[in-house]
Amino acid sequence: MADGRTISRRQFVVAIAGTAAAAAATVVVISRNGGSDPTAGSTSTPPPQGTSATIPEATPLDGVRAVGEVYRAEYPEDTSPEALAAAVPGLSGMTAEQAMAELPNLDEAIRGDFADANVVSVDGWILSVTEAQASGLISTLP
Amino acid sequence: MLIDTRDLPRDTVLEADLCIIGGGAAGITIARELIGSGLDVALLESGEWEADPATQMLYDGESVGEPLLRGVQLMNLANSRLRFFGGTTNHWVGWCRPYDPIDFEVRDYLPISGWPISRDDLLPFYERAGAVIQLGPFEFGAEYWSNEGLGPVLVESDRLETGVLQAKGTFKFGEVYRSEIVSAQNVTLYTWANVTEIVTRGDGGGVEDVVIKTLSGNEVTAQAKAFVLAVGGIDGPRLLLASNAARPAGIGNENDLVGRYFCEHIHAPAGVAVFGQPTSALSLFPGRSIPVTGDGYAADATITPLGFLRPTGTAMKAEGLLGFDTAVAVLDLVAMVNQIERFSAFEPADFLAYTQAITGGAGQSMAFLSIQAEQSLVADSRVTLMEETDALGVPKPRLNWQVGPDDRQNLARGIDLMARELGRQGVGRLKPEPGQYSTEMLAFFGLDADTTLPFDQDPENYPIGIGFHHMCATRMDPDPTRGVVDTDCRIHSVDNLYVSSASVFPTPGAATPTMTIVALALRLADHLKSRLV
Repeated sequence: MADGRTISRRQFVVAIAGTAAAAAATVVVISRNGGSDPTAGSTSTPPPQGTSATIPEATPLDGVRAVGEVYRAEYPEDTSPEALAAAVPGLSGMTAEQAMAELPNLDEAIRGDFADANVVSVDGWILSVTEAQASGLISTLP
Repeated sequence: MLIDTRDLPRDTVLEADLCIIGGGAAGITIARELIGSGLDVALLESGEWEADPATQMLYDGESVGEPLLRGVQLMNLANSRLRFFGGTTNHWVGWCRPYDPIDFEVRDYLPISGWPISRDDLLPFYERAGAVIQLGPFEFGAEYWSNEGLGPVLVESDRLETGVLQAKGTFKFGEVYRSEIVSAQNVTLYTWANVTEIVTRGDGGGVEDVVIKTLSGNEVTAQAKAFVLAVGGIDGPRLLLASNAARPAGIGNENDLVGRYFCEHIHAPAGVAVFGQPTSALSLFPGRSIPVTGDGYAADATITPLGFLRPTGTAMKAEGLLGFDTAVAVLDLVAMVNQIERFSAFEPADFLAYTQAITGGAGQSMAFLSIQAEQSLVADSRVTLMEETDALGVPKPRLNWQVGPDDRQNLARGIDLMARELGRQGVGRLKPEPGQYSTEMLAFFGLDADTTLPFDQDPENYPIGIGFHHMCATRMDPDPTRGVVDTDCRIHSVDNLYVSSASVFPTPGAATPTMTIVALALRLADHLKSRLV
């Protein structure tokens, strides 16, 4: 409730909690003393599903290239092709498709960046420097 | 028993062993605990069963402190609490969780922090509070609920973890417990009974009686062996300060502490997060109602567990962070696309595909993150009195709510921690947007969906909101130079006056306060039984 208007707490909490009623799959009957009732049935409301199949336009390479291009545009002084190739040497000399296949090998370095706060803001998104450089490089590859 | 105070002969003296001022969650809880105790209990309620505009206006006052949303809104005292039986639970949605162990600890980066009781001390009362509020099992960790089939735990690390709130749903103490209170042989509920003054004995000792007035013009008094002030975090300090006939500074205010350190929960959007997992991986966050069985539960009783993100105590100490609970509002496809378009230069599909690729996840999903944060203690954040009085002659409250100089930076640092930890755990990516309120949040503040708040990325300019949680203005501390009430919640300088509300919290924490209010009320009820029976 604010400014004298009759907006309820419930509206507020539902608002910040999101679609609270949307997800329901298997009903679990909970006892205050713990435990569950495995005989309970299921509800009729299915859970929200993954959405990758319903946004058909972008491939992983599309996404990486898009991020890489914005990164390069925002940090032109750090993202010459030579600088990016030097920053992520394991991906240089590859095609974009080949470099995409190597991305999982950067996972440890990317996680390490986040642990060390070695991050960069790209369009406001907080990314690891390694992933931004890799994306930047891939966006220059054929 | 039920008595309409308007119908009592003028100057009637009500006599009881215990007089509870305020029929909200705390007052009702204490009264219920004393049913059958042999004590005569008078429970004084300002209103009756529904909101009454004239009674509600007795809360009216002036807010001169921190503007909400950078001045787009001001805190409205008249409607931030409800003044009828059940109190503010009458519009409470019911989200509950206990405070965390770190909330009770001394933190060297948070001046005058530390509760004089530990989480372990309060634990049995938290468990009893769960029964009072009719929650489910005393389980607030994500792993338990995940094992119960509510969905996987999104993140659980040494820095960021998933907690769980529980709600019975709309739970109005007045509706749930009215019959029990009214039918109790040793409890008398007085409706339309507004306490306008607490009168202490001339020797500076205990409370002699309280003056009760009705808006219809009646006036009576109540005498008791002990009194409990259970009227909320602004009206409690107000009544103590206004009761200044025998003590010019007000009751309990010998050290100029009554009304100081007033705290709220700081609300702010954290931003948007994209995850490399399908929406089904986030099913703990939407929450869902599930049946609950047990003694005292209706056949169709349900509870709703709801996940949220919070920093671990280890991370808070390591980084000097105040607490923050982060709601994760999972978006459906349309909202997901709209939010990315609103908040990002990227094509929605591109950034979703990117996040899935970079995290190696099995799907794509997105959520809007909102923070409820702890604030630091500020001595000048306080409740004082205006010269103007209400319809019953009591000075109106003036609230000067202040946040600490680093509290907005704390929001930014907390958001940064979440962004780093979601990345370190390979879960997703976060775009901090601490000023970008969702359309639902704008509606909560009475603003149109297309409202643009004055905002920039400087944390000092975050347009913060509040949780309508009034805390800490009569803090608990064994040292009377640091707190207004002792560890029994008794006012240090008054031998028979207790306070039961979030006003006694020594620090505000980040959790919703009601479960702790009820736990402390239960603890106080036990103390009163041992003292008075």
